[in-house]
Amino acid sequence: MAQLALLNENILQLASFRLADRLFGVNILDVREITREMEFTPVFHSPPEVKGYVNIRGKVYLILDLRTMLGFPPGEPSSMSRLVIFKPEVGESFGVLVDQVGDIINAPADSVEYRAEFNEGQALQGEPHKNLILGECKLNNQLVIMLNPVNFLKVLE
Amino acid sequence: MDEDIIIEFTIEAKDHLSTLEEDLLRLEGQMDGELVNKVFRVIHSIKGGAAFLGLVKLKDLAHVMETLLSMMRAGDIRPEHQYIDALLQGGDMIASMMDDIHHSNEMDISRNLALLTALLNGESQSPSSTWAHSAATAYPQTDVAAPASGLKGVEAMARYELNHLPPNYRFLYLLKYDLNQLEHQRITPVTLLKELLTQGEVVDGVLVPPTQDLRLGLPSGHMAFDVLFATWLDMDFLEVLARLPSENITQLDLAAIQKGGRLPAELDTSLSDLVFVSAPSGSAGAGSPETRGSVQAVAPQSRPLRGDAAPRINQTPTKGRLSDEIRSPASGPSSLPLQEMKPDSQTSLFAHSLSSQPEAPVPMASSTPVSGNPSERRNEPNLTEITKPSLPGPVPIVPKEAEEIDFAGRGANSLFGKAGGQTTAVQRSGGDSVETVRINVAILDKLMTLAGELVLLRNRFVRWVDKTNPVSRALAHGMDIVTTEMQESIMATRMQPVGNVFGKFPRVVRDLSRSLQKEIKITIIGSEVELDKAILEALVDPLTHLVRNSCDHGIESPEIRRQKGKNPEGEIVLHAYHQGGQINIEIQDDGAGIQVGKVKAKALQRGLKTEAELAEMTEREVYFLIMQPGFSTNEEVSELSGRGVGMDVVKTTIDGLGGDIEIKTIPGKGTTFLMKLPLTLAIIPSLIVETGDERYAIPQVNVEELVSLYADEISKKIEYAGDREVYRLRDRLLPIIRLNEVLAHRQTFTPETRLEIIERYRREMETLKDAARTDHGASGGGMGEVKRLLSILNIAVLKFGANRVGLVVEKILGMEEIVVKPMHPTMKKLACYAGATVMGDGKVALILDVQGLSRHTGVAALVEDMEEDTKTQRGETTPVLLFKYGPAETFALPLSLIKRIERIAPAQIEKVGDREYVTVDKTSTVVIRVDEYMNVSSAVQKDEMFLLLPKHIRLPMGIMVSSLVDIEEVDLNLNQKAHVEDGIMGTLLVEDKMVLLMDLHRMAERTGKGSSAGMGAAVQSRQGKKRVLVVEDTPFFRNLVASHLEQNGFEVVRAENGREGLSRLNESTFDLVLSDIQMPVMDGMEMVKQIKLSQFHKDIPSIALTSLDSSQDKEKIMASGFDQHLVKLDKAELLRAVQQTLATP
Repeated sequence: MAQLALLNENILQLASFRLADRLFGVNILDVREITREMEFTPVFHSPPEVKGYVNIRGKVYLILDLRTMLGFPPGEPSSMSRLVIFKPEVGESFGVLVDQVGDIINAPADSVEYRAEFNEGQALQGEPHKNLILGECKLNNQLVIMLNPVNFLKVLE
Repeated sequence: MDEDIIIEFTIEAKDHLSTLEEDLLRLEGQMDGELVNKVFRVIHSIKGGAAFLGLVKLKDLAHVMETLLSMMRAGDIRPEHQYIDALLQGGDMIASMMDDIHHSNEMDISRNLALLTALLNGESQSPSSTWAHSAATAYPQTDVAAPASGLKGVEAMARYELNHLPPNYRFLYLLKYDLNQLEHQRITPVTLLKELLTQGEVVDGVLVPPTQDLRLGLPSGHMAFDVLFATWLDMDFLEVLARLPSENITQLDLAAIQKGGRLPAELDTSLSDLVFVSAPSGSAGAGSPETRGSVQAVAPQSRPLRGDAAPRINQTPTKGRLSDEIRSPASGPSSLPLQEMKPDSQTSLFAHSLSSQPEAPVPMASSTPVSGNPSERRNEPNLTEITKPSLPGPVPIVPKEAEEIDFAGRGANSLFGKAGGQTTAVQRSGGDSVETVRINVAILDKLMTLAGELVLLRNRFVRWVDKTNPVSRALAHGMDIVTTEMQESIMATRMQPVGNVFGKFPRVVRDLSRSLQKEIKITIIGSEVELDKAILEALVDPLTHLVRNSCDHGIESPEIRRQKGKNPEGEIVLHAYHQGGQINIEIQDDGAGIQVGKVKAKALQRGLKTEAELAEMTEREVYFLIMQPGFSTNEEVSELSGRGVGMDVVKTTIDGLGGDIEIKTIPGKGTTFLMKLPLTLAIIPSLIVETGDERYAIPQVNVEELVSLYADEISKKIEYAGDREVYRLRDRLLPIIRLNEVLAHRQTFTPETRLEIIERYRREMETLKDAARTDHGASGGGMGEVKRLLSILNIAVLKFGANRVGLVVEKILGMEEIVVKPMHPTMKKLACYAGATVMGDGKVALILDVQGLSRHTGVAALVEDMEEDTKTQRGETTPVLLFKYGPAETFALPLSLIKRIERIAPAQIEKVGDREYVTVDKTSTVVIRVDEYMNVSSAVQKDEMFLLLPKHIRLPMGIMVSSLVDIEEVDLNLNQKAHVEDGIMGTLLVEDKMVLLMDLHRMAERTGKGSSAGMGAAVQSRQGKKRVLVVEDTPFFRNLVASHLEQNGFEVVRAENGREGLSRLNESTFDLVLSDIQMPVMDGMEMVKQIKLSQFHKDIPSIALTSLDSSQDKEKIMASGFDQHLVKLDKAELLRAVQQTLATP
């Protein structure tokens, strides 16, 4: 499980993004960069979660379609779409396609409810892969679903 | 310090060892003094380093080897098999000790020692025989001139010195000291030697090291120090000077030795002690001039002066000078490592002298840190002279020795670089100096990666840059060039000659041939060819296996070879060469070849294949069976079999390197394995293709050729075999893989998948064939699906191993150097891809794995080499008429193209201008004499000749024939390259004879051209030249159509698009408009609408010339106002339509 970044003991920072009109977040320490590169090279024969390869400054990254992974209907990349690229310690050169990126969220530690504590399937209906969701965090009337990117690549296994 | 030094030591030593084997093998049976010296030096410097580092076993082993070598050097033994064997094995042992240097002291070297010792003993009687047990019995006073063959090396080293002694030095003594005892007496070796040097010359001195690391300080026990001392003093005086009891002094016969006699046996025998006696026993102790390692420890500071200085000083005749000044500069035998890295040992031995003479040695040592450096070496003489006086006098040792070590330093380069684990070593070899730098491979790899990325950036930059701006264009060009050069240079840093790997094979072959009792020689060609280090390293095992395989399974035993009338000595040739951006390595033997029957039997026995499968396999596929795991055709399991490396590993490795392997074999003659390898793993030349808007790269190593099929060729050459599509390429049937289908099917193809695909394409093909039959698409109907097929079918003929497949792609974009990036770990199980790369425009493209593709589609095991049953299988032959004109050639024309054959008499021929006519069917017909069109023999003159009247040719013409030969059914697969005469389509083989297939249309074109006869003339004669407007955006088609019409007597005006066409129409009058449909600016339909709206032009007939030929397209086209619709590319049809249209009033 990823270590959560704590600004101080009580605040953790989440990089937030939207997917199918829902707000998600990943630990900002897991994120290497966010890019608008959208030139995908499809990898035929790969699992449906694979969006394709992109080239970011000479390096090739495998991009996963987070929508598919979380059981949402696939959507076409728009001008708001972004790639969230993760650091190597999260998994080898990969990133996910999201609909839109949001702010960095400073979440008080006590606002976080971990997965084990809420009902399976509560956050997402028909979530095809387990363990992608770390927990949720309730903030100013919005619910941020915290994802665990460490398990993303496992979807492909 | 230790670890760094040890690492440096092993690296250097391995460098030296790498040549050792080769040198030994060259020596074998052929004495070469230079080479012996070289080998000697290598072993010597290893011994020195090992002794210094306390690597006792290593030192001992090296020492015995050195002894043997020195005997060889002295000519006592010749480099015969048994010696070389022992030395090679010793070398191997040393190498394996180097591999695990820290445990080298625990290794068992007794076998090697025993072997070497036995050889030493067996060969030379006196000294060598004593050498294993002589410590106690050594030193017989009188035995001065006894041959000391065991230690010829020492002799050689010391001889120079001995022969240059001042004349009054009449006596030569061997002094045996015990350093510990000296210390007891508070005498340091330095003082002692100083004293000795006042009265004579120290020829040689040897510290016999106890088997203990000197770094730990002096050992407490007996420590022998032997000195060979030449002096004018007689025995009585010497006892005093030397402070030795007479029993520790041995007098030697100097005169005899100088005359060429041998050095005392003591020196030799003492050597044996070094090897077998850990601490010399008895008062005599054991000394050996050979133990340079330890000597170095004794006299480290003098090292910089060795070499040039030594002989010079020794030549100085005056005794006074010698003794007063400076034996020391002359006497530095130490090899650098010690001197530079072992200050501790200096202190321990020379504490007194160093402290008392602080100015001397240390600065010097540091002033020449690396012995090999040429510039520094040049300075040495000066240095020597300058510093001479200030040196501490007494240092034990011998100039000769110094010379010897200098050899070692020069030839084999310093054992250690500088102290402290620096990675730089400057080498000097022979006369020319080559400067090299050691660089960590990780840095090179990083550079390589960066270069790859720079190449990609460059590609993008060059594409992006504004090429209309001269400045940015020049910048881009410059960057392009520099990047390329940089990339090449960086690649060059990783390149190593294949000789590095090839070099080991003479040994392998030699050992194998002996153990197999065969006679095999190996020839190596192309050692200098360079390959990427990573590839080279990976090649070692496959190459070794292939060479072993050739020895074991390929080359027959001498008896069998004799029976077969072959040279009893088999030959293996290793050949590396460049070919088309790849490296090819051939392993060729002249052995028995691979016997298909045997292989099949084995495969059956092993259950690798069923009988039915085997029956269907081609020979080539059978050969590749030997690459299957656990395959061995040799009936007897030899010593070499079952080593766990199979031929399958060879194939796997080569595949893994992105290479390819081929097997060629001729039963009874031999076998050749051909490995094709990329120059480097990181950047490979690749074919770029496109399918479904995505580009894919195919490594060039897999690409055999590219084929484009046009229109009806497609339906003719694509055939169906069961559930597979095949393409007939010359004499082969290639399984077809359609890339778009592969990509569309995630699951491995099942027979059903294949059938489904085949059916789809077969239906399209049928439609296409129908369309082709119905007068070239003039009549329409259901052409929509065929449209795509009608254009072009691009097939990349790909190979892997013995297999060939045709990959159908949408477009072939060309060759490009690509930087290979591995597939993402989660994607590696996708067999169809070998990796990814970034293209010039920044987009990622996938690299296809040819083998994976063919596995995925299941076509891997399919027909090929079917030339023998071509006819029966194909069943699609064409009857051709064979005829002759001149006596030499036979021509062919398909019967379908011949209207009829007329008999004519030459007398009937009338000449008009430069043309000849006969009247056939009341038509003046041009007589074509073939020899006027091409370079063939002229006609056989006869009273009756024939005239072939062709079909489908408007121009009334006939080809004159002297005799009709036959009508044959032939397969019209032309060899188009073989004959390139204008008017010949290609050559055919009929009954093993070559016939020329005539190109009737071309003949007609050439006849019509520039002639006043023919169709064009007819048109003209009626109405003057007809003017045709040709509107077409593609220059190729525009010119093709226009010139075709021009050749047939029309006047043609060209336009690039509809708008231009309209303005041409307004400029003058035209009889006909021929127009493409799809064009920029204004398309054909729009143009025709305008024409039909115009009062002036509405009556000009118009023909659409297009590739759009579905019924809908056609309707649309006709609706827009065209009078006729023609499919592009049919010249005859075009001409016919044009003429017809113009003929209608």
